[in-house]
Amino acid sequence: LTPPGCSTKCFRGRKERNVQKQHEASGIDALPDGVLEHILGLLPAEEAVRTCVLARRWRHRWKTAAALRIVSAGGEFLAPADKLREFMDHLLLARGGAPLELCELRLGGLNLVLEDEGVLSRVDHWFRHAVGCNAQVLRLRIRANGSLELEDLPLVSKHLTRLELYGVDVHGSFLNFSTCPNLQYLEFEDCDLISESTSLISFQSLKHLRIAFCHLRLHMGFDSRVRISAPHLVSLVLEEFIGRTPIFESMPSLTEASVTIGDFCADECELSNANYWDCSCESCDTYGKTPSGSNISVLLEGLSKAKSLLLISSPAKHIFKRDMRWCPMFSNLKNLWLDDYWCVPDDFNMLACILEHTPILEKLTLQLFSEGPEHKMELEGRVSLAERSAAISKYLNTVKVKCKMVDERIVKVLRFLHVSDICCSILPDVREILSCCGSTASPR
Amino acid sequence: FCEICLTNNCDGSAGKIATMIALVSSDNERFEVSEEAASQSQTIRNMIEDGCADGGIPLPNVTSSVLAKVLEYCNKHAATTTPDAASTEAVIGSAGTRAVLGPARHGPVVLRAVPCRAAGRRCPEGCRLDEGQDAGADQATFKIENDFRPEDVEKIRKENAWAFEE
Repeated sequence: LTPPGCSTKCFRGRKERNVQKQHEASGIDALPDGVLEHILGLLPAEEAVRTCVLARRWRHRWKTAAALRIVSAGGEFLAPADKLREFMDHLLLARGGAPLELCELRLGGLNLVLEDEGVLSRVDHWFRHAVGCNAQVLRLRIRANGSLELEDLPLVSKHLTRLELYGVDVHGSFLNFSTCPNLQYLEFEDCDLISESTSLISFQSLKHLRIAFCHLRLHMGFDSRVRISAPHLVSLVLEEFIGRTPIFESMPSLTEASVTIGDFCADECELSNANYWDCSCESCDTYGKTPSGSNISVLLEGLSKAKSLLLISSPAKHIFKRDMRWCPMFSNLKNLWLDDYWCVPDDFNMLACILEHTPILEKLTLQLFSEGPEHKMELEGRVSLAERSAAISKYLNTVKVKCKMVDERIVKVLRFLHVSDICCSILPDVREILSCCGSTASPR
Repeated sequence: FCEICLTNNCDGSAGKIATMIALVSSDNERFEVSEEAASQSQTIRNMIEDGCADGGIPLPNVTSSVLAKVLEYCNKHAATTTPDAASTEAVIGSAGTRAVLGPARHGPVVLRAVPCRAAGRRCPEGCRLDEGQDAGADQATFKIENDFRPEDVEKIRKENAWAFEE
């Protein structure tokens, strides 16, 4: 229609045609600015900038892209540190304070460890710039040699709703999110979280919290237990933390929680004795077996309002066992996922006890001696009505077991729960459903 | 280019009566598209396979006015010449897709969006960039006529050299 190079602003006596052309703003240009800014925000940042040569209309659009995605993880244009620094300097200058919805900084990755001092020293500045542009979602994912410490200053933003931090050290007042009153979703993975002044970390506005593979502690070098208050939390994931188990205060709105206590938890029997009840070592004794021991529930009380729980622990870690001494009533719990920690070696006392405190439980899944996430075998059976204990929820009809193979240990559990009519499915390829009948817990 | 399945390599199967999928905009308006077309987005295809598409697929990032425009464009825009090596296709996808640019110096230049392998199967707000993402199917093409003179393009490239490959 229009020869290339002919600007739409060219009035050469062809007003009619120009008017027609304006109405005909074709294709992608017909979309509202907000949409175009959103599209540009979907591009890796360098590619968004490159749209400046597409057409006149596109020359400056990249400056108001709704999101910034900076990836320097190996192989990309921004992978070399000097390129990254130069790019960021120019980009932030050109954008000024143009608002952002989302900013993602991914520096270092599987194949590239971030080592460049020039970059490391600027990350905090880039991060804060994004906050200053009213970003709602911030993702900072770092793989550095050692760790990257973020500046010890709280974030201030009423726009920030979601924050994800991977591989950074966070000190002191950074953990004070009271100046982010709309923060709803917070995720820390592989971070070092050090609360300097007070043992209480308060997440007032949070609805979703995930802390995975992190070290939570009070002061540098002190053996301490952090207390977390998140009174409006709806979902919690606490996965394989390092150090002392944090105490969670009551969470009345909690819908689902998943707690996995792994090998790096510092709350363990010093004799590696999995049988907490029979162990008289000092570490087991300290945490409340004796009258003088503290009787604060570390986890279970705080989790007691959940509708769905996953509680998994390494054998010699005694937090759950200890908390079970003051087992709360899980009055909302419908869905429970446990591992073999709850079944051995205590002759199922733990399992029995928790089932007696879950009056409306409907679904029980037991992951026995199998790490997952994929399990070689999955069994499903019914809990016999006649034989079950009266203390167990009457809504609990089926039990699922995930294991590697059905051995004596599995059979013992199934017998204890009076499970019969077991169906078994075996992974991986052919899903054979072997329908087994019989009142004994024999899966064959 | 096939208008029904919105790809360049249609195998003709889209000509059959298609099952319709509803896409629901952020202000709760429903738009019916063929399952074939909707499945070009990996995210949506996952949702269909997971059986989550029954009530309609929510697109919380997209308002009805925008979605209407996008679908109108997708439905009416026919392909033209096969793109040459220097240009790439432009697509727009729903939440969960990522746009990639393959710039061409001359002639029509377009953007490409590829569905990204979201970290979780349901990717509610934009994507999470994973290692080893693969390119997926495209959804629709846009054309942008380049109204720059070649010397202007050079000038702008120089201005923003920090963003371009050598």
